[in-house]
Amino acid sequence: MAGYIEIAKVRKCFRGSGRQPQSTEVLRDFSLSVTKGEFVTFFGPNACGKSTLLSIVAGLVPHDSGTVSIGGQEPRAARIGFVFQQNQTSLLPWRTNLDNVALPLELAHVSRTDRRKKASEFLQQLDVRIPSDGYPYQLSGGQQQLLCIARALIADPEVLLMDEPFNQLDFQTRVAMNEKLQDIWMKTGKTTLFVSHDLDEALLLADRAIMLSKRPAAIARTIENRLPRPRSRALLQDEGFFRLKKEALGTFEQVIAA
Amino acid sequence: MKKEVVVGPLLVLVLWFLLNALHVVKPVFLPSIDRVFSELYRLFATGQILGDLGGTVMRWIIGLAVGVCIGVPLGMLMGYSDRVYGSLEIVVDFFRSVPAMTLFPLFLVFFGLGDKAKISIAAWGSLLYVMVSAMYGVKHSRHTRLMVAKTLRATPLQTFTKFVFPDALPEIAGGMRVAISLSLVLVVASEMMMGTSLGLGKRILDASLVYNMSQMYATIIVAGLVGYISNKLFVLLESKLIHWAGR
Repeated sequence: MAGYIEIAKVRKCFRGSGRQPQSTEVLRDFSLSVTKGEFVTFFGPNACGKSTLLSIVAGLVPHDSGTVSIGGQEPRAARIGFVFQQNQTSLLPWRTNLDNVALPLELAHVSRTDRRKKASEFLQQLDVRIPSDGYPYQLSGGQQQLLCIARALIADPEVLLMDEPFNQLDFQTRVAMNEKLQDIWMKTGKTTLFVSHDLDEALLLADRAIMLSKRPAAIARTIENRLPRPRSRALLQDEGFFRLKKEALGTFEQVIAA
Repeated sequence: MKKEVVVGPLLVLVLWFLLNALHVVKPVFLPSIDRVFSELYRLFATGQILGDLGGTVMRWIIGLAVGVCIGVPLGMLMGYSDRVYGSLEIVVDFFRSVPAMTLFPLFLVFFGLGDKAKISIAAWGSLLYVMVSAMYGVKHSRHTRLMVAKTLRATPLQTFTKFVFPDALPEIAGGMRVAISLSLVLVVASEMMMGTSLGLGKRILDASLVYNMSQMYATIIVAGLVGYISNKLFVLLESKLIHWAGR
């Protein structure tokens, strides 16, 4: 069966320039198939190319060869929701919180009353409680990122892409956000690709956690997590989770040593 | 407002009083406080200064508006396109380094003795400032926000109106704040140097030439108040409209 997201033999090379004259190959013959509604996380060494992979799927960065398709279309033609690491600078501080969430609808020419109504219903549906008429700079980092997630999802994208979204948050908030994200994901059922550099997070959230090798990124191992959802932080103490983590750590050490 | 703000103005008045009362400076050069303020009152009560005030403010506001209307779009274009920026960089930096007052004779030759020359000089001075701030405003628009625009498949026009332009506003406003003060200086100076029938600069110069020092100081105070109040008003407006700046 062909996957919903098909990544086939993708190659990406960044041409060198200036201080770094040699070109770097970040992806070589990278292939992956993701089924609809699946939550896939990526974990790997620093600068291995996981963010580049996400940008290619989003259609933000062109790849050199190979094919990427989302629901049978070119990435650039697909509707995507993208959540960046930088919660503060990816929101528009001149707009109210509600108007930030409604932004994708506005770009699609939905009328002001309709989009505001839909945005506030959507926030309610996701159980995100944020003052509508306040501004993003008045919110905590976690709330800002929730706003970004809601904005990414409101226009019903075909895929949700998240690039280390909780990196800039403190530990406590991060834990809460992991649970909240699962909650939102279970409500919306979006096919999600999530890049993380926190192994616990990558394993906890995933249906399938992809362990990547050093650059050029290749799949070192795929770890399936079939533990029941919702998964809370308490699961980290669980025998089953511990086995997954041990497997993942083993792979990671091999990757680093290679 | 805090109570200590009155300390500065009071110090100035006390110093003025002492300099005058102790004859440290000849009263011909520095009249007493009450003489200057009664002259100030007379100038307004008789309406004598209103024409000058109106003339100066008119030239200043029109010049500023022209400068902003040309400078902002041009600056944004330079911010958008490295090509345009590269082509104009040296010219802009050069003219920014030329003191605007050295161009008075040139403007006089081009635009004649009337208001046009004075308005143009104010426009010129503000244009350069606003243009550079608009350029940096665009250049500094946040990379992440541009990526957000891309992921939401915003059109180039939407990217400009909903992302780049608002992101550039705090910096444009910063340039405008400087331009407001600078263009007022240029207008008043041009009124002194180029001559005019009505204008604060003209009145200051004329009063000083006939040693009418009370009137000269009174008019200086008016010019100062125009600059001060406009600046305060702009900052107030800025903090209301561009509430997100610096956050």
